[in-house]
Amino acid sequence: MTALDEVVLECEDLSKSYGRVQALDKVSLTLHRGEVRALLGKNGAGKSTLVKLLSGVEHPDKGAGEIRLAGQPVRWSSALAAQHGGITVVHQEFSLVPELSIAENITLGHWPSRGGIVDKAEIRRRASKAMAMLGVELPLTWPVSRLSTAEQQLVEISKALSVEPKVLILDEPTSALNSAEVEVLIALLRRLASQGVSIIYVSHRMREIPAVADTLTVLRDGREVATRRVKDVSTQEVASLIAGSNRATDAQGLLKKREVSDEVVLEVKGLNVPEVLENASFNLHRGEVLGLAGLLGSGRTELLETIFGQRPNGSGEVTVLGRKLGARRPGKMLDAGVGMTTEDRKRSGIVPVLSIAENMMLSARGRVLGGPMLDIAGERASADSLVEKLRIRTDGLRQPIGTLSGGNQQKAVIGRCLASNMKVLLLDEPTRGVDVDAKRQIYDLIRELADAGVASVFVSSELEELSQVCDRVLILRDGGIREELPGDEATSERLLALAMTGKEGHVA
Amino acid sequence: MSTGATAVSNGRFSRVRDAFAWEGTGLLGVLVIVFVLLSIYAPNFLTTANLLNVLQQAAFFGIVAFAMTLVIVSGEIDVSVGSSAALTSSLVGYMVASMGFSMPLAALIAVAVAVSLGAFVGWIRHVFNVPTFIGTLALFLALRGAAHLVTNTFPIPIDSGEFFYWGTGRIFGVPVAALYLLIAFIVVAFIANFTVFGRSVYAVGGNARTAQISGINVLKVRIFVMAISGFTAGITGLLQTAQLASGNSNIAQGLEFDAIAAAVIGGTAMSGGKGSVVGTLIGVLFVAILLNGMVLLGLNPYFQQVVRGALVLFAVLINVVRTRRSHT
Repeated sequence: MTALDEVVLECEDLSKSYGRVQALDKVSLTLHRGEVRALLGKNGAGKSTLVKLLSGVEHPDKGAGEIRLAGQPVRWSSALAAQHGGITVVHQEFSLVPELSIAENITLGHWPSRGGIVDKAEIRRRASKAMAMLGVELPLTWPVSRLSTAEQQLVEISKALSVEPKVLILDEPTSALNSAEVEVLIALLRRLASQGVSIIYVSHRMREIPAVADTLTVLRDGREVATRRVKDVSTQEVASLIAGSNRATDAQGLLKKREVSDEVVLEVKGLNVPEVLENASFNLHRGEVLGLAGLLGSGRTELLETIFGQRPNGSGEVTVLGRKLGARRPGKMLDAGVGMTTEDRKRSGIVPVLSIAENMMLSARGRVLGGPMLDIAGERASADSLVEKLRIRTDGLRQPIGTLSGGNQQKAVIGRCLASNMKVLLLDEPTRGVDVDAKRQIYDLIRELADAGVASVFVSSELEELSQVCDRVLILRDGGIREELPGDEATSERLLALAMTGKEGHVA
Repeated sequence: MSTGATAVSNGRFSRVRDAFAWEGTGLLGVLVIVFVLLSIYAPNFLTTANLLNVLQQAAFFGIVAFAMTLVIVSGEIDVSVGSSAALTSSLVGYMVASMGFSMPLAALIAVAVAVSLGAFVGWIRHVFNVPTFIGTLALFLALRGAAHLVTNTFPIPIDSGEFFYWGTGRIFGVPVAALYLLIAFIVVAFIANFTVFGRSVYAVGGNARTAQISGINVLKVRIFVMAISGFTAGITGLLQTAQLASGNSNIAQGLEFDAIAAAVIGGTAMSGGKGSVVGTLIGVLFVAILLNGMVLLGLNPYFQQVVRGALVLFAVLINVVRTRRSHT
């Protein structure tokens, strides 16, 4: 792990604000040639903002800071300019064209041509050079769609390398990989670093950090809280740096212990999703809020989807209010009193062109509101009361839901479950992309519902949320439920340490 | 706001307000202007006989256009309706003339075939993810061919006696075809705005994944919508059969595009989830009146096609501009 002394990238006092929100506040960072820097922080800590500034997607606030590449101050006009300048990002979501060949994908956007005709030989030459740099070999002419996720990740990295960057930024590169694949990737990245490429490695997975990184920088609330050599810190320390909570205030935020009924409303037994989850079982009690903590890719979403009958390859036994439900599908789950809100509101939470009232009534129709004719008076009464109860801010019930703020959209999505009197809610990241006030209101709502006997499974990658809202938290790791903490012990710090490593002690 | 939103209202005068805010208002205005101009300049336009004739002509693509609105709102398309109508007519002719079936039985069987084929396309759309454009394109080709095979491309004359009254007769002077247009409008508008199924069509077209997670049976919606479209194609085939007093495999050429055009002119968005049956009615009347007017004015018939094409583009552009303005 030799970090050469030559400084490649420097940033000084970078700041960026969006409206009134200070996303990044005077962050400085120095990266040497061949150094691998882990960039750590919670959601919203400023990691992605920093990456955006470095890669030219966004500009720092006027006069707020400077980026120097090899000693020269730079100001990117675009991401493409940054790429040509030597900084390339590999995003978490792939940008590959499935039906094009590996070689064509690696050189996408830079296809060489002779007299308007694509020079295929040159494409292959460049592609194999990029792959050789990374140290992998894949059949150049295969369409990308034939590759596994891990192989696609390697193509994605090769693509980034094809422009011969000085700095390679990887955003959560392992979130979709299994542990063997992660090891391979880490070895390749170390090799790359030894060739002099500097790498910024954004990740949540603490365990990978000692293996891949030389140094680490922790961001919190848009500020740099620490930069250390990886071998000088323990996981415990890093976790508290990331969480930033001192115990006293964290404990205050914890939910007071409550009496929870011992009536089981949802029983999940032996849930399996190939390559993601193995033998997950738990019980949910009447009026209980059960948190699911786990990192990206830990199988949180897959778990909920399998319960709700949304995953054809998922299997396992689900019992609702004493009734075992075979061949599950959403309609049947709703009939049984189980509702779900998904993590991606745009994709599967709302029907953007329809009104807010329509969106809230989708599940109730044909159930509590009956059918086949619309119960117009019933719908109106229900929608009115929900808007009031959920404090949804809208110009009127007929406003298309797509024009509302994220928080109000999310409240309406939860409202859809409430309109049809659900007994169990499966909430996947219900506060994603929602402002602070709306978040607070959503927590309160979940608690109120719990007091009224509605049980919830609450999935969140913001661990403080789980501490504040849940009666009990399960920790998902390595494809299974590994630990359980009662709500009054589930500090975000402990949850983070458990979710990352399974240990609350030191990194080996 | 589409008429769909009338399902839930939030103000006493909301319906009145809606009428003015509604996207079709502009089109309705243009329709009225065209109507007035034709009344002044086109000889015999403003006569009861002619206007009833317009309605009768409108029925030949209007009935299908209402169902097509549901199809497009659900995020699908059906280009097979013309061929399906031709097959219906041919089957009826064959069954009555060569097999000695009674007219009602033959009609029932032929329409049942059209309905099943529609349902089949909806099913493979959902289960095998075959886009309805492809599924119905296949039918567009195959059914026209099948119709020609049945009739050998010659009309099969049939004499059904009083049964044709249900296709060509008049009730109190009004052509029954015009009444069917009205009935089809009322039924489909009712389905779209006042039934759980109808609202589900909008939800599926607006975002099928959300609809599914909300417990809507997306498969059922897709099958029913395409089956309804097949049903209206079959009815249109029967109407033409009665009109021509024969089973005929050459009828209803281009029916699919007339129907799609009427829906689009009426403000239905090809992207799904958005559109109204009332808008389509205006689109149907617009096209029918314009065509009739041009005939009365003695314009070259081929000119009609050009005008119709321009109308489609014009109507869509107006909608886009309106939508943009309301979003800023």
